[in-house]
Amino acid sequence: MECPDIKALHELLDRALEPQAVVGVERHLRACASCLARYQGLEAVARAVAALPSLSPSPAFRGRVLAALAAARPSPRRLEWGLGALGALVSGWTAAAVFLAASRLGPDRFLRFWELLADPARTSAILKAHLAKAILVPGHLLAALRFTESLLGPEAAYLPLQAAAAAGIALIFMTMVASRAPLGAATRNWRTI
Amino acid sequence: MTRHDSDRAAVRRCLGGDSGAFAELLERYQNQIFSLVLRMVRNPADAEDLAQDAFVKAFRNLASYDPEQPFITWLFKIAHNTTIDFLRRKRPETVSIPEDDSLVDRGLSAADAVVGEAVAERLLGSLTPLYREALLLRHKEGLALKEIAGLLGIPEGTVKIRLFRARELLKDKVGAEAA
Repeated sequence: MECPDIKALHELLDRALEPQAVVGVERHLRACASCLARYQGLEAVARAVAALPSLSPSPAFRGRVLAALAAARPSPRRLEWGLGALGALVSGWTAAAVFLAASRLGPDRFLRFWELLADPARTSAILKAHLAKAILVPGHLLAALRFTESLLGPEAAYLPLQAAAAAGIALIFMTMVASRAPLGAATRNWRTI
Repeated sequence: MTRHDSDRAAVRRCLGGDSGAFAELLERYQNQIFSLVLRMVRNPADAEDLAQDAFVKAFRNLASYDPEQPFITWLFKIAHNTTIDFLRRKRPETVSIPEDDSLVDRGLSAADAVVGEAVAERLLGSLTPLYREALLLRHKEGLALKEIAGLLGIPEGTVKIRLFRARELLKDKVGAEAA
């Protein structure tokens, strides 16, 4: 009777043997006192480790971790001020862009531009598609510029550029808020835990 | 609700701004993390610092936690990395273990030994930290080989080798104590 490799006994203990190998090794253990004793030695080690008690940190540990968590992020006040300032900057920039566009185009053409953008059934759909694709393919931005120019004259050509830039900045802003807000909000109440 | 469900819910609440939710996770797992780290570094003050670092890192990176995985496994991984970095800085020789598979048969000495808690703790402490860690994750925490491999970032075969050596060494030491 050939004894199995000792690695097979370890694998049996770790439930890492193939099912058919398990049957063979177990059959061998029933017949071989030497291998059975070896396997029981491994089981004894496993049992001794499993029976080790769970250890507790000092009573001050929890408080120290919570204090460290509160310090792990910028203070909520500073974070809120930073986000507020960024929001104001984006809003101001967008408002300035709209004001400049309106003053250069004149009220009628400016309103017509927004009507076109707002009505999916009309030509604005083409412009929107160009702007959407411009995110991936810069050539579409040029197409959007030409399209706007053909509709509203050369003064309007920069509008899609402004719209794309404003959308880009707004996207960055929203990404920052989305990625930081949960932890920022979580930090906000740490001191009250 | 299973513990996994409860952990996932706590993580979601934490990411949604409920700071008490992380305190819940801390309460639930601080002993497990501290126990593992302490048994690796064998110094309570260092273990508390490292366990604290692990929880802070977990909190900072909570958004990267994969809710499909058990939270404690993710936490063990962070604690492992933190502890190994510490041990490398402090005692480089203790984490450098050759991984070749050239064990020799060491006899049958500990076949039916009953190992007391204090003896087990002392003998476990005589192993290198990586062997200790492998044994603890497998037998104390009940993780499967695949989970341990994923957690430690090593192949499953390497986990088997570490467990093989650790158990054989410990079995010999238990046998020597009994004799």
